[in-house]
Amino acid sequence: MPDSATIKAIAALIAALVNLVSDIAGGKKEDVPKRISAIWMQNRSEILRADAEAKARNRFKA
Amino acid sequence: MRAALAVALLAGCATAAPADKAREGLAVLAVAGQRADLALAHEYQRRAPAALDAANSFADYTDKMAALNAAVDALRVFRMALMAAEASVDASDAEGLLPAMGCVAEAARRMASAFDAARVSLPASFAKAIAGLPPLPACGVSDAR
Repeated sequence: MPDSATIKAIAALIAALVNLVSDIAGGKKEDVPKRISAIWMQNRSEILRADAEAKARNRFKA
Repeated sequence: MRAALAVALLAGCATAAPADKAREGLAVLAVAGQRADLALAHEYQRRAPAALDAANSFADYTDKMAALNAAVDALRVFRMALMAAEASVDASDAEGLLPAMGCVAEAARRMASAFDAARVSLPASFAKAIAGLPPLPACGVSDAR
């Protein structure tokens, strides 16, 4: 078993996460998938970076 | 020592399914992160062609894009930290969740700084979500006290 300070810290964290749902998601938790991978499958910015760098490499290779 | 999340929470908050509550909160953070990704992607699409046109070498191009690329890197670290926290919940690793969330908070701070340096606005929901987290142990430190 974790000690009481850890238990309190975990409880505070869970309470804060619950508040996030009600404060930011407006309590519409049923509309949001619970798996991060289902919400945010990949970073679009990373894909764009890779594409742009490939273009840049191609341009300056010539 | 690892302990089941449900057991650890019994004394702290009498919720029926704390792991589900944690997942819902992580999902909100993921939605905020995804919106930040879209904002960054929008800026990337806008600035990369101009940087390429203005550059006279690949090194010059990457130099012009350095601030945006730092934001891309910071965003990736944030997403990885969120997924590590989710893995702690999946493993019922209550004590692992605290330092994992410490890494989420630290990654979020670095991300905010990188976005600021790149002059990309973070969605308001991101700042609000991160501000809602309680004090957490430093990233990689398991002692919550």
